[in-house]
Amino acid sequence: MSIIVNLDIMLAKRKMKSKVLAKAIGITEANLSILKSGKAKAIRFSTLEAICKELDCQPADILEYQN
Amino acid sequence: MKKAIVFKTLIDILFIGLCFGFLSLIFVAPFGLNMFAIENKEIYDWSVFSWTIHLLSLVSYVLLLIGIKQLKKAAKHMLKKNLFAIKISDFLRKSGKYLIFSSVISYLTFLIVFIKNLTIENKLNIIFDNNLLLQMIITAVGLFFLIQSDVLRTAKQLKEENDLTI
Repeated sequence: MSIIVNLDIMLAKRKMKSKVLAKAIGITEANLSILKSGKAKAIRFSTLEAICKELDCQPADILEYQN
Repeated sequence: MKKAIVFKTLIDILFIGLCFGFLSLIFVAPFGLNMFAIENKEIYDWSVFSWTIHLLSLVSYVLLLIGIKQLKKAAKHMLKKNLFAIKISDFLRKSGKYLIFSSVISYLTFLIVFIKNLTIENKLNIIFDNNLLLQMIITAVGLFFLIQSDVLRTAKQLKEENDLTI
């Protein structure tokens, strides 16, 4: 897929663990892992909003388009 | 789940019944021990025409048998509680194709008999009996299985997408 999820980079920048983020945004660690690995087919706006709020970033910091 | 069990049982019984029918078609009918009917007429004199119709009926019957066998496999997978399994869709598609092929060959036999009556015996017979009705039902069921297979495939894709939406 051409959309790359840079969640792990943002997590490293914020020095936050996946487990903590998953708990904060109210999704399971398994689902967060699917999102990080790029296996996810779609992301809800509510999830994206919660991630951006928790990591204090913009959607573009998490999602990237590559040709 | 009970529905799936009943469905599987019915298909199994139908398959066994059809197997017995197939054996009787092969071994009993050509030797005149059993009445073999073309257009509800009893055939005792086995001419080339009778043999052609008999062989076409046999091919049609075998295709029907294979179609039911595929349906049997689909029913077996339905019992495993995974209705979105790709194998169910595949078996339904195959079953549908075989059922349609079977009915098409049956239509061909009806057409041959119709042409023979028209040309050799100078009789115009237009018959809409249970034999034709049954073949039309088999065609409809076959087409339904093909559509159902596509629906299952689409449903599986949607389910996957839904499962992988975070």
